Amino acid sequence: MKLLIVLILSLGGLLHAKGVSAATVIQNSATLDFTMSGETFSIESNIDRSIVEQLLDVSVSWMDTSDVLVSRGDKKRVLTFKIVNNGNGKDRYTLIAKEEISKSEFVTEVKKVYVDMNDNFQFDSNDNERKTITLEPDEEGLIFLVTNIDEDLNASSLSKNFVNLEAFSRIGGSGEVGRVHLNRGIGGVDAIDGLGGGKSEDEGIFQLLIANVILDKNVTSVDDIFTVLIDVRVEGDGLAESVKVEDQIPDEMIYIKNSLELDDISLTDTDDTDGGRYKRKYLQRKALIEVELGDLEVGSSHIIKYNLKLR
Amino acid sequence: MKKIILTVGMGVALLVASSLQAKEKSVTLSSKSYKEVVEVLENGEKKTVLKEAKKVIPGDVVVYKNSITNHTKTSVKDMVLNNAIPKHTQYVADSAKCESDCEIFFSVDNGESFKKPDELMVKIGEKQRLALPKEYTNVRWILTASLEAKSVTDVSFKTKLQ
Repeated sequence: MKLLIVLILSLGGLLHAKGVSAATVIQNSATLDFTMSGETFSIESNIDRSIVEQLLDVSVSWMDTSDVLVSRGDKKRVLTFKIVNNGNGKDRYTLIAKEEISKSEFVTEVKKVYVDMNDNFQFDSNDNERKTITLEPDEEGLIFLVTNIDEDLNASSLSKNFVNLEAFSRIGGSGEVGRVHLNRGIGGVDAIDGLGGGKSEDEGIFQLLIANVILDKNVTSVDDIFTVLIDVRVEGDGLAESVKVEDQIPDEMIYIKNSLELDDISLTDTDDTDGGRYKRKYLQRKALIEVELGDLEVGSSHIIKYNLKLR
Repeated sequence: MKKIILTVGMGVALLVASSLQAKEKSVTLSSKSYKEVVEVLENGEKKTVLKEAKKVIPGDVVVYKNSITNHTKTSVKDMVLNNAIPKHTQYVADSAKCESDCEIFFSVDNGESFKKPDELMVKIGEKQRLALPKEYTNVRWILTASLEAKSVTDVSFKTKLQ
């Protein structure tokens, strides 16, 4: 029967990652004792030698436990990935971030790939932007995929952005299982693309949260005192960050000193730590009250109150 | 006179050594490694064949075959063949074989002692348990049959590369 192809080259080996280092020589020999014509002899065999080739095997996995929540205008938001050298030799991997445009409901700005240089599992200023990472066998590295969210992003709340991180071996990484790269492994041994073809990828998700701040303003008057009530509510999803309410005093009115309140608590007119203040802009001949509310969660509400009188 | 006797003595010793060497060379032992490779035939049938294992990768199952060849005109008997499990590999259960009649023993102490699998124990603290095949360090074949003149017999075992 004619042979078509010698196809399946020890698939068991390709399934198995890590293990004995590439370029290791495996040796075997045996000894034999025997009797011949009444005499006893002992002989040794030759030493059989096999050399261990380099198996190229890498895995990429997204590490965030859930979608990473982002808001419009966010800077340096991070998806975290783990990359592991499951092969049996040192390898260098090219890292590529790709947006899954067909699946994504919104797109983000240019993404940058950083390597966790100080191994603290957090993206910080010590981490460097890199296009490759070099790993010893069994070693793992953290990769941060960093992006900015457009301030004018036109997308609805809870929409998703899918981002893919791919790593492939610089030695091989053909994507073809069992592909042999002659003499390209450690110490000049052959390298073989493992089950993933010497490459791997995984997908991370950003989810957009849009919180809307609603302002309702009412003015009532008793005698010649006008009371301004501003109802601040947050609707939508997520967090409204660094909310600051400014209300300009009409030209024909005068602010009544020390009348500013937030949720029935008095705020000083001066620029101090209570977040409320009365400000005059002499050049523009304007006056306003300003109240800093900080980060507000969806569902939260506050009432700002102050008094005015006619000039 | 003393010098002559010494010279003659040395000659006899050399003759004996060379005669022994000739007998040793007349029985040879060779060791070879193979990988199991699946070939696909034209009819789609798969056939496992052995190919030389000059290159291996972690997880490969390697077959080690030791061939004893008797080149002489005399039969060879009381053959005991020892083979340490190669470093970085693990013995594959039930893989040790022999062509002719034999008994197979294993060691877990680098060849200090040998027993059959159902008697081979390892100590774990105060307790003992049967050794796992992957814990074997050596294999020993005791060939109970003689190897006839001008004939060959093989023994083999399999290991998995770590």
